[in-house]
Amino acid sequence: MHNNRVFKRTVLALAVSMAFPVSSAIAQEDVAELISPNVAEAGVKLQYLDDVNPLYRQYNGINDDGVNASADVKIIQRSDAGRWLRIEGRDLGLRTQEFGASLEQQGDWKVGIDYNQIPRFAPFVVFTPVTGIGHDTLNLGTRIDDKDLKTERTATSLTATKFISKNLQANVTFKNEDKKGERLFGSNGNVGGFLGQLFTPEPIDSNHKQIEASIDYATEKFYVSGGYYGSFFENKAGKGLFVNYGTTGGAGNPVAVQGSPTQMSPLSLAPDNQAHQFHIAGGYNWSRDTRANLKISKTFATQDDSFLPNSARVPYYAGMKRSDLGGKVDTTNVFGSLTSRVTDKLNLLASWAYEDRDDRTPQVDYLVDVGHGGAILQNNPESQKTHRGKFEASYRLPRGFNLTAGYDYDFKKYEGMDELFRDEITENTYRVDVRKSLGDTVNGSLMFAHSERDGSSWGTTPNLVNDGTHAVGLHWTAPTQFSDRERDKLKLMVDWMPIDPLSVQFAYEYALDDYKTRIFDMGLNEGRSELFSLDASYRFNDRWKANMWYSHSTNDIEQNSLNSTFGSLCNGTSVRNTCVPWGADLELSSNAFGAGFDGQISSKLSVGGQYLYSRDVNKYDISYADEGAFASPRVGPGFSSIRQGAGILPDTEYTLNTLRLFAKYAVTKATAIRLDYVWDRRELDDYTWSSWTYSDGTKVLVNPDQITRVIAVTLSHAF
Amino acid sequence: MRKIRSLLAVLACIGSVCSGAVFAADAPKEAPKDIVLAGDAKCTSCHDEADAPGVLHIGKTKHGTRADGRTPTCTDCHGDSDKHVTYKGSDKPPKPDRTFDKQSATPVAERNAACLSCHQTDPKRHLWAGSTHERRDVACSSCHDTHTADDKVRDKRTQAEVCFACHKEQRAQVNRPSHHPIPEGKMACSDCHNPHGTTGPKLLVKDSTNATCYTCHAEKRGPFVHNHAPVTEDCANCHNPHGTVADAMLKTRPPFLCQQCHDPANHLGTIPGVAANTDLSRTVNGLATGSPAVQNNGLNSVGVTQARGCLNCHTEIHGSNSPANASKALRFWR
Repeated sequence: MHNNRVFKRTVLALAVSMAFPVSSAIAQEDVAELISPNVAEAGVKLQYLDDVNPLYRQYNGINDDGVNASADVKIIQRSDAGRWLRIEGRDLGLRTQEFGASLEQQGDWKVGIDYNQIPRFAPFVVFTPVTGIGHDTLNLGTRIDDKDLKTERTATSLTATKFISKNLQANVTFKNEDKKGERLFGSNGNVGGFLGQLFTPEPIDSNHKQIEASIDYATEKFYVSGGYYGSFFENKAGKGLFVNYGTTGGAGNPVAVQGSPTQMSPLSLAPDNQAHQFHIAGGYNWSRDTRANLKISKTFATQDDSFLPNSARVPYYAGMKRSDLGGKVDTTNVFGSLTSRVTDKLNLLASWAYEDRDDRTPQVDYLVDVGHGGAILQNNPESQKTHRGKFEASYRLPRGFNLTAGYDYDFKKYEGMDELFRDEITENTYRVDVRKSLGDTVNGSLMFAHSERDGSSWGTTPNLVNDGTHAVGLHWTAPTQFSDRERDKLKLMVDWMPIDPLSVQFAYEYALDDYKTRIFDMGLNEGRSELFSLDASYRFNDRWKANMWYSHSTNDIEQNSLNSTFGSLCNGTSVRNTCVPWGADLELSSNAFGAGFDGQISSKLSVGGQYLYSRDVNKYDISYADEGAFASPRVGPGFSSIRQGAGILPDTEYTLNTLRLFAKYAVTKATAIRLDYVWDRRELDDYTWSSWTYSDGTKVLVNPDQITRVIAVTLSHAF
Repeated sequence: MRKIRSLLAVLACIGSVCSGAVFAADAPKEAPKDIVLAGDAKCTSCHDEADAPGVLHIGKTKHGTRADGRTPTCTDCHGDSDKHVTYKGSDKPPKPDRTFDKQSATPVAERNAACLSCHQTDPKRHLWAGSTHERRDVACSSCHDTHTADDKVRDKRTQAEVCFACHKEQRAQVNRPSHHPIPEGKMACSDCHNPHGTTGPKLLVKDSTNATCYTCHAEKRGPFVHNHAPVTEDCANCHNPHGTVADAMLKTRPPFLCQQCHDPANHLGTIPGVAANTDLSRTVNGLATGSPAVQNNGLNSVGVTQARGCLNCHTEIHGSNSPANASKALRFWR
């Protein structure tokens, strides 16, 4: 805003325009350009990659080094009658290409279509003799070839919206998505004491259709809506993956031999499934300050894809007569909320969400668990009920401060799950936060929350002796989501604007999870996380601005287990019966830094750049117990059940360095040239695939130091 | 500055004389014309293309579509602001009744009320009241820029930048090697979250975590012959969808992740180890094996640690639909 309103610039412009009529026309043209959304522009991009690296290409879609061409197009037209036409294409010609078009009469109706491709290349290269990759039958060849595993999603969406009246709106969205390719899967070939892992990539060929329709009547006072959501998944890759290699029998032979299928063949593939959801919802403003919402939905999901037929490789249990699972899950969701500004200063919220997932799949006998006592086992439908409640009160304090106190209630009830677990889990959270969010140089918030989680009694008692059926160590661990837990969280955020162009932000977060174990500190004991971050942005003038940020975080997990062997008595009487308690302290330390700038050197030349650094270091500190009720650890030849080479894991480290620079030059008012440069370096030091060879000879290679350079030229023109 | 003003004043006089304006002094003064919105002359007579071009950019947006009778004018959002408009002093005038900048003195609820007076009837904003962002005093203008055609938060390539202004942990996580394609601009935070309020946890677009994940990963919906309890309950039991160092966005890599739930009986408590530290030619007793040892054999820990870890054998970890009379199907091997 100018300081002296006597000299309003519009008046001056008017005066100038009176003196110089031509300048008036120019001014009007400028204004028209400022307020018109109409755009018609196209661009052609040529980018040269010096090297395609697995980590860089993961989602970028470019898997060929050298020159890759693509085009962008953007057309937006708005008529005086308020009719919009939008056509937009990005990365046309690349695997990441997407295209959208819509026609809209604003405030009345809209129709649109969108097409989107999302590729994903595995971040490694595979060298394998396995053939048939991408299909439902795998064989073992003799020649080792390199292979890129990838999947690609191709989605087309149609949308339509119509205001039937001022308050009544109908929406329909239909999305058709195909996903094709292959991904790392794996299977086991087990013979003669060898546990051989086989490279068995899963074929991906699926179609997912989703349709969502709703009708919504809304006024300032209330709204009601109803809708339908349908999901239809079809797996066209088949019902099973046949692995025609694997075990041979007899010592001295390699595990994988063509024509001798692994015992796991065929591996089951994901079955087709369908879901239909219906919902009704409504909200009512009791007054200007009090609002209530309610939503009820019911979902009917089925999975009745036919099974792999009964055969020598898929032997049905004699009493099992089904040809499909007959899976049926009905889910009911209810959500209600009430918000009210009781006084100018006091604001209340109460909300409740309920979910009843009722797995109504018929239970029949499927198998005899020979390895574990010969029990006849059925399928295991899993039902659960969940309640999430929230109550919160906010009170406005003087000087722009606000105090909020809240209580969260989480309750889960499980039905039909494994008897190891609990029937009910309850978590109560108490939290308080203070914030200041009214214009000043310093704003911010401080939040503290404390949670306590516990549950009903366990369905079993820990097994301390081997009774011939149940091994020592059974029922010792409290699975993470079932265990008692105390959680504390602290969050601090400060926004500081010491001078107008400078903005600084500081954030600190701390969380501590303390798990109560069932016995002997087995399982997850403790989790800690801490985050510190600092952001700053500076606007030098209307043409130049810059920003930078840094964050540091750590995550620690402490957990314990017991090294054992199959059927061990854990009484220390022999190697087989020696069990050794051990613990792991898992630490992740992350540092990330970013900086960027944008500027205009002249009215024709603009430049910008970004630099991103990110480094994550995982440490795995494993320690054996020196003593314990169940072991006299005598690590070494002939005395211990600890497997040779166990307990020493190297750190894993990932470092990302990316520099992006651009310069854009306006050749004319309509034509521009843009130059982009990317330097991307990713270093991965990870033991996952290091010195690893599948039993069929397949190796997975991850280049530990990957540098990609990209130079791109884009020519764009506005019509 | 003073020289410029003087020059402009002279120029104005010349212009007026040349156009004969001085002879029309008694003629009724022409009211300023609206530029973009109906009634915007009250503001644009000062805030014109020379003063603040960005103000006029609202003409490029849906708010600036006059043909739609619902679109607002400046004062619908900023208030009548009479003190601001009629100020005669030479210094800065008082601010408009409602402002939306970062240092605004307008209470957030009042700022948002200006938007909600129209947008509360939008189906995706029905649950704004009571949502986490509403309760934490997040202003609509904290994320949205209503005066530009290119609102960063509505473009999936730039949206995450806006969200990361507060969600710092996620900013670091998306740059880890296993992540959803958010940095690459192929996914946006709003594909999974509706920041305007939902019935689900964590502002997820569907009623539950799993229902949200199934919109893209429908093959995991099941139910299966053999269900895996934590999978059925909540995908986030094992995955961090914002990004991890471990493959497949697993919160912790196997076998550690699996050992957080599974009993140590039998081989489940095996201490991890890698091939580089293992004498692959020897048994646990230090004796040479009778046959060429496969590095990931049953005599060492490599098979549960490297490659996919436990999932090397328990391939069907999301649930197996194998009807076979086989214990291995029950345990997700086939």
